[in-house]
Amino acid sequence: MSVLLQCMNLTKTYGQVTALDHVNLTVESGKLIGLLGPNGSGKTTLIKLACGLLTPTEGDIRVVGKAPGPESKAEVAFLPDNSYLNTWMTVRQIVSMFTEFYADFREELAYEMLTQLGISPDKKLKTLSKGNKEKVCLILVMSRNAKLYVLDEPIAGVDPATRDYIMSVIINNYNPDASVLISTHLISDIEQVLDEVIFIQNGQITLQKAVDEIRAENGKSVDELFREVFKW
Amino acid sequence: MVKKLLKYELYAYTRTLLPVYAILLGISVLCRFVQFFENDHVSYGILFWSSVIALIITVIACIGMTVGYGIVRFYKNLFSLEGYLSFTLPVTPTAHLIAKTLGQFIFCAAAVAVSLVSVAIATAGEVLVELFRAGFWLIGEFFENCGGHAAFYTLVALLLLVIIVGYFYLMCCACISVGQTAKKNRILKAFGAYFVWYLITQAVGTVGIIVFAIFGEIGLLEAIARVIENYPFEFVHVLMVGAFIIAAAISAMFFFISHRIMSRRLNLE
Amino acid sequence: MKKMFRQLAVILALLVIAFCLVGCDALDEMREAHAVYTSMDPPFAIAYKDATYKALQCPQIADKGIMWAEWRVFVTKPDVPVLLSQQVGTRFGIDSEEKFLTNYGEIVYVREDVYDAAVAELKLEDPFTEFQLRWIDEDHRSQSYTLTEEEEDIIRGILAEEPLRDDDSYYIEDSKTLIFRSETGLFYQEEHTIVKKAEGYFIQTYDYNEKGGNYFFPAKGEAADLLAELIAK
Repeated sequence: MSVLLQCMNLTKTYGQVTALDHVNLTVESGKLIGLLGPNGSGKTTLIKLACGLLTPTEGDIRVVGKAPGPESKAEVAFLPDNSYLNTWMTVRQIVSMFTEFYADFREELAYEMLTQLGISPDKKLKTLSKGNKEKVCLILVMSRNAKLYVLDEPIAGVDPATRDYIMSVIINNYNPDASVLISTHLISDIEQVLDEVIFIQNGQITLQKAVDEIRAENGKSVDELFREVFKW
Repeated sequence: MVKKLLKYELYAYTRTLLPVYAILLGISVLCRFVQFFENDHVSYGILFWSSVIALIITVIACIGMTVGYGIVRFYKNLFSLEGYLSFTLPVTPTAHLIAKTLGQFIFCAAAVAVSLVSVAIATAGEVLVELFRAGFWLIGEFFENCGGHAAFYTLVALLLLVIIVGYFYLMCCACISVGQTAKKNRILKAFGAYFVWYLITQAVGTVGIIVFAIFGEIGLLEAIARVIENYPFEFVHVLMVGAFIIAAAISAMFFFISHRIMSRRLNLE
Repeated sequence: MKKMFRQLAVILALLVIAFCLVGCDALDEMREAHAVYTSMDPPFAIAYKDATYKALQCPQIADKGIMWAEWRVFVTKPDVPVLLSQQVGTRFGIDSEEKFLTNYGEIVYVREDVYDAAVAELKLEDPFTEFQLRWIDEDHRSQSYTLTEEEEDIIRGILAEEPLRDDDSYYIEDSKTLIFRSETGLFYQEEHTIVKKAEGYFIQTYDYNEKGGNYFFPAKGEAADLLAELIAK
């Protein structure tokens, strides 16, 4: 097992607001990890720091043993919570773009998944429905043979059938030696696939444990524990 | 990676600007078509000059849009939602900046080329032939009068043109990047950065003029006049090369500012 | 898409070819005004509209004005393109019969077929032989009319009479200039004006001598009819 993500005293502030407060965290390879917390807890901030979209105010973050940069980005597959692709491009053009830029991108797998979903590669992204756009984004991410997959709210705002499809794509296509970090607050839907959970609240990690351990120690599901911990 | 980024830059530019260039060519065809009906009637004059003005406005719009699109694309592609894609690509900020600057160069050149083609279409026939003759004659006179210096002037002038495009583009990029360091009103801050730079250049210029005037009182102007008189070609060399070096240095500074902010102070929210 | 671009390119090319077949009035006008030096060394010469104009040393002589010219010709070296002729060239005046080119220096360029006659006139004490009427038309082009011998006799008859002294020129309804010129037109004297006043037709002249002032030679009968006809041209 190798360490894919390591945060050491990681802090991110926006003026007076502290989004992450001296976070220490280690994510090892070969796991499906849920990053769970209420809105505004710092999940997205942590994810963005790992992907190099934000710069830390204090502390250090290492991704696949490197500071966030081109080398780490080549090994991290990131799915943001909103559509970030050029909508004027066709699906085929986006797939080509990913093929060109990411050495680990599996083009055939991407087209296979698109075919399964009935999405024509020659359609422009802007002509696709919201749900299909999100599926295309997910396919692009999961078609990579990355070491760390970082998915920010992948199942929020979609119907249950799509949710199941997304989970099956994640489980069936990620590299077993890699880790998948899923940020969500819809815990009940993904609890059964997670190996580990991280609870984050007010920019601090309050819990990082294996799901089985949580169930054994607390006699509750992760969802129940979450509701208890983050009760108003 | 720069090549790959440049390819997508050019896709984006082509998609947006090709219709504009097509409109420009269309208007030039119209302008030339109007001349089929040349006569002394006042209505022809109105039609002809309207078409010429439309052509001129479209040429200016074409070049303006090319420059403007480059700047807007820099912002949108890096600091809006598209930035999530751009900054998660395994590409350095240097590569991004170089690809975008190159894209701007290429399409500025394309805009100028299309404008020249439109003028050629609007003057197609005898007038175009005479325009070429006049152009070649002027170039011939330039080379005859300047002798061996002409080639050097031409080269430096071309380089100056390129560096001016780079200077302006990188300045805008740096202003946008500086704006991104704000917590809110980032676009306003970008304009503020531009305004501050404008004030700095005006202040430096004014101080320079004052210093020049002071030294002028004690013989600097006469000295310069003597130099121009005795070494006119060399004086122009120095001016042009000096301008190039200053513009290149300031462009490099803007590049560095953008790079620094993109690599050390990126905050894509 | 590619097919459409190709079709558009073909249409554009055809249009451009069609455009090339049409001339340009403005360019034709510039060509009309463009003359070139055929010789930059003495003896100097200018080529203009298929004619050659040779240089003639023509010193300024009192009472002998060098012909009346319009400033509409630009003379350049042979290699200068027509588009730049007006920027680079020297502006020359040309008479209405296009016999002479001058920029009112000591050299007049005389058309080849008139050159010998001009040289002969230069040697004459009094080269003035004919009257010519001159005016500017609605297109601002200079027009002229050379009087016939009979008309000249009538004019001389009018000028032989006693003039009326009158400095009051305000009531002149119409006028045309009458010059007295040499046969080639190289020399002229602008001494007279044919005028129409309420009182009738006159030939006006200005006395530049000590007395000074406007003098009006009245015309009556046939002479007045002639003046009316000339003024109406």
